Amino acid sequence: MAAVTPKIQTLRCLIREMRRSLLPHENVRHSPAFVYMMKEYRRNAVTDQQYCRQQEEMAYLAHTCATYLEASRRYQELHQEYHCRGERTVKETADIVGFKLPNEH
Amino acid sequence: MFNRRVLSSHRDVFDLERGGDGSHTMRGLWWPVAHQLLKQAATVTLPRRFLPEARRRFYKNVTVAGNGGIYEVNLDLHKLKTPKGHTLQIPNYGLALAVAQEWAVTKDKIVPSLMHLTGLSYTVIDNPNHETKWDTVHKTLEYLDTDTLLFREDGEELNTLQAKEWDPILEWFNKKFDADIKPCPGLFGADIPDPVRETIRRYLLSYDMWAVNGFLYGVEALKSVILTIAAAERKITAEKASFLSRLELEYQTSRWGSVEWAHDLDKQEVLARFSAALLFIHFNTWQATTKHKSK
Repeated sequence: MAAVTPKIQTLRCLIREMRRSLLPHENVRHSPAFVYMMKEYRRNAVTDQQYCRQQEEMAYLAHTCATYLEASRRYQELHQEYHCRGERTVKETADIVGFKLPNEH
Repeated sequence: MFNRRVLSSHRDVFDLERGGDGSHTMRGLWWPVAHQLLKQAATVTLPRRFLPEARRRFYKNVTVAGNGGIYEVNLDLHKLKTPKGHTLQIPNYGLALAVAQEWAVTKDKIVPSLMHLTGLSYTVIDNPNHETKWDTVHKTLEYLDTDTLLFREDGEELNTLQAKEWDPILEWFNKKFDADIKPCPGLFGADIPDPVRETIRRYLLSYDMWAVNGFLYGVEALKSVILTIAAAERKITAEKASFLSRLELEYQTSRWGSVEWAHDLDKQEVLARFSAALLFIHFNTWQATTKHKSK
């Protein structure tokens, strides 16, 4: 009954998210999360047409996983962009209104 | 919350009295009083700043080890432990991998409040408030009286939108629990009859302690028991559930414009919390069995 996006799209999303978490020298194919995920996908590899409860469960789980990774990443990015700059310096504040600081000449 | 230090020697007491070096920050301990303190097993509570600097990432690799029903997460060679000191033992491999992923994603600063799955695992293992499963389910059910889906706007465009989006889920819920919950007017909350409440309680109690904590987290994120149960039954996706919970907000921002640093941030936070809760529920109720076809 749930309108779940096709499984390949979810798989691609998950791999994309996993790749972001890796250190530069690692390959995503070797990470245990990737190995586990591919094992689960292959185990439930029936076509999209056939209805199978376990397959639907796995598809839903994969979709929720992708959602979680994406949402937490976006939250961090937004927070970093808007809320992490700290206070303005005195010079910056003065520049906003066009004033010059006393010992600048 | 407070940092406890044991006064174990005369030197400690003298240092405290004088102000001492940088590590002792409490002043004004009287020498007369100190005698008594030395006689007992003295612990001095010092207030700490409530906003300490976040820890930096100190590990390179995060791995999951274990077999059978117990998996542990290791940060380099150091086992991940709960705040109380117990080793974090997760009964499900997928969940352990997800927790490891949360730790692997941190780039520089470790912010525990953003690691929802780790936090939930800590809560279940430590049980800091000594709650039984019944207590947690009871807390969850308290949100049923003020469920989001039951509060409608008074006859306007928003009302039709709410009816269109929320009624199907309410109908499904009523059918599932053999109830007749209707949207309630006014401020005081719905009047849910006891038999219905008990049916829902029994349904929630049928999950294990891990999943029940997931339910509470999800309900607190969305402020709606109906939406959480619908998502746990896989009737709606996590994004749809969080969208429905924030329906009025979405309607207003679609009309008046949205502010990225507030609305989007809030949307992603609710979605992250709820999808973490949902993952926690599903990993802990999902049982895989394989039946091979005889060839």
